[in-house]
Amino acid sequence: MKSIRKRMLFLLLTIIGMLGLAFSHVDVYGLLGGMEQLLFRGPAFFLLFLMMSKVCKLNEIREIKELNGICADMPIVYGVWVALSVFVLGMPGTGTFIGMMYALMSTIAASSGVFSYMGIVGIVVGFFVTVAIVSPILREAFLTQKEEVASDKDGITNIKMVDVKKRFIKQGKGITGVGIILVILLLVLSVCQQFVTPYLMKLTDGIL
Amino acid sequence: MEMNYSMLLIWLFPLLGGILGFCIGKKNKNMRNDWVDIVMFVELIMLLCMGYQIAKNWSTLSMELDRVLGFGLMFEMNTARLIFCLLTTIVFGTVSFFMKESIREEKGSNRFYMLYLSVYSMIMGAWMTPSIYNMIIFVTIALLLIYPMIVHRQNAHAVKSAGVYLIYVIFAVAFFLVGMVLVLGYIGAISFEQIHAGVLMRGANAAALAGGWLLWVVFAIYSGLFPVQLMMTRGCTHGLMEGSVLLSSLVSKLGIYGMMMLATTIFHEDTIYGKVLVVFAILTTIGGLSFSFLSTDIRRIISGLNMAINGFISIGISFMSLSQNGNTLMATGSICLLIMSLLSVFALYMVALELVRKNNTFEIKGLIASGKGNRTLMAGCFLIILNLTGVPGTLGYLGFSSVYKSIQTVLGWKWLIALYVIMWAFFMAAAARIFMKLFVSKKDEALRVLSVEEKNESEEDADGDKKPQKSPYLLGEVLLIVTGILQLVIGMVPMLTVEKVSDAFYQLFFCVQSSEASGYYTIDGIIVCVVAAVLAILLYINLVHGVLLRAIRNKKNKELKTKMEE
Repeated sequence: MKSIRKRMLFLLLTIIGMLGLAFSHVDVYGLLGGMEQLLFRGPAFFLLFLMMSKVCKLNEIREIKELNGICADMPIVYGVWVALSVFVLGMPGTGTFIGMMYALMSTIAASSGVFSYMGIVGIVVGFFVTVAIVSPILREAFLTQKEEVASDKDGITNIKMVDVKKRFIKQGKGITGVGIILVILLLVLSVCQQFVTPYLMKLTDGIL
Repeated sequence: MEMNYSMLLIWLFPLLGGILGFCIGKKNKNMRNDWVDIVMFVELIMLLCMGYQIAKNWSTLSMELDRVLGFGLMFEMNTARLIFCLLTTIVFGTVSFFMKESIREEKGSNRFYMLYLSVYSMIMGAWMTPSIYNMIIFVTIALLLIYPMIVHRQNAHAVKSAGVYLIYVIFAVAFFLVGMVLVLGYIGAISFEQIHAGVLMRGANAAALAGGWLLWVVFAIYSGLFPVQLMMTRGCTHGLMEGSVLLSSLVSKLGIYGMMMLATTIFHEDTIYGKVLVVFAILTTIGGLSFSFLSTDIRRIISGLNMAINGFISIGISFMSLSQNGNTLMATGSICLLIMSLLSVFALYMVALELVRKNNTFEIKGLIASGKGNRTLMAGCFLIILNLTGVPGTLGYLGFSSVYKSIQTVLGWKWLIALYVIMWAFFMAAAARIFMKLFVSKKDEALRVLSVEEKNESEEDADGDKKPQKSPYLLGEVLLIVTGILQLVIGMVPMLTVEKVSDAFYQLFFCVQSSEASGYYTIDGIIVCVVAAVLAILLYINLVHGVLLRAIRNKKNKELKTKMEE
């Protein structure tokens, strides 16, 4: 999948699928897991999508290869993309990962035979799919495109690989600032789960 | 439980230091290097202060924050964990001395240093935590931070290898997710101590064991065990050596530590775990030795050696589960080899780094005799190789001989003892090969007649070489010698060194006292070492200088003859 837009669309579908898997178990851990994932994945995906769309629109980028060199040109923007992606993917240490653990606990505890195994496989495959969709975007944005430059010296041609210098039109500072604030907020909430879990438990009790 | 918040400071200080160093480096790179030295020094002082507190009361310092990171953040500091943290600080500190020269002209050095200190922070956290959940989180973050260090130069090979590396890291995360949920659900604990107590009281049912096996796969990926060794081998073969050393000498040892913990907690006296592990351990050793012998790239050679030594340690760990009469003897062997390999592998990488930077090649052919003029480096490398090969009087010998005794007492299978001796011999030959090639072998002479100008040039170069130049890595080389001497001292007087701290390690790994007496220098141990050494010499002469070399020389002569005929 070369198109960035298609990748983001599939990422959204995968996230919806994983939330569905979590919420399908209408018990404490299932609802808790779904809500944790929604709380962390939702805003992170939304802002990541917004930031990427803005940069792609300004620079007329459609495919992931065209992102080469963004890390060098816009390091702060790239840093925010990586940080938001960590929450979208559900890497260990994030609230999303804790939500996936709760969802898995609920799936295993349900003991619904084949459906439990399907649920476990679904959550694990969903994790792999999100990584497979997002990591090439981040990798291409990190790597700088290189081109061959030939130079003649004393009749000998030397070929060197040099970075292609690209100039990207930078997005506004406002959206980058919002991204940084969201990353810090999500990080604090991921680490300090004592501020998150009691409220989500109350919500869960209310629903049940 | 006493809350000792200074452990939070020990964990977070390098991370914050890395971010601050990044900002300082933007203005002045020399100031940044000094700042990194300050961070290392302050960490060392904090650890020594912790050590003083522990020694004063002979207690364990601990800290627990409920609900942080979802299931709690726990830190604990006792003698054993303090030793691991001190060793980690020694490794990072020494590598940073080498990096001052090696990374000086490198593009993006600020980012590299920031990642370096962040990895340091995570690895310290992993050693300090008694919780399996926290430990794997810290190691995963460290592995993700090492990824940009591997692709730092962005050449095609590094990017491709890093892709394979990342795939294995992601698989490890997936196995961790499911394994942790099963262990938490069916045993009801995330700290090693609580898991151990839970399994002793109630036993482990099939689901808990399944979770344990999934967690074992995670640690196998970290330690580079066959057949999931690609994360280690690919991560260490194409990136910068300053990053490879962190993977080989620290992350892989965390994987070994994890497997040891599993052997005495979830898989307490589980013979199936022991049998499966011994098979994979032997395959890892053979795989690592093959990788080392068949490679010509110095990074692959050292990576192969690391894989082989991890295989030896895993053999010792497997006998911790197989033994029915206590496992302190097996633990001694594994821990001695773990500490020896942590120090020796990093030192080997630094020796190779210095020579690679000077000669601008990773190929062993281009590095032949490249270290001949440098006596400090030669001395450091010699001491490291002595320890690696397990010569009597070294820490390596204590490890190898204890593992041999474990095989003898637990199973007593003669074929396994013979296999162990042969693998030890191959390992000695592989380690000796590095030292001989870098410091003893003669450079190949040119196979063509030099023109008058070329001859004059080479004579001028030879005159130039006669002036001794001060090595910019001198301080690092001295630290390598200190590391080698430290291991020698520990090996020579185990009654004063190993005996003093062994109880702390037995407590950490929940070991049961062995019924067998654990003498360090027994006759059978020394005989086995001598047999392995003789075999190693024969192997070295025939494998490295005999059959292989003759085959290479014949091929070269054939090519030259064809060229001359043309």
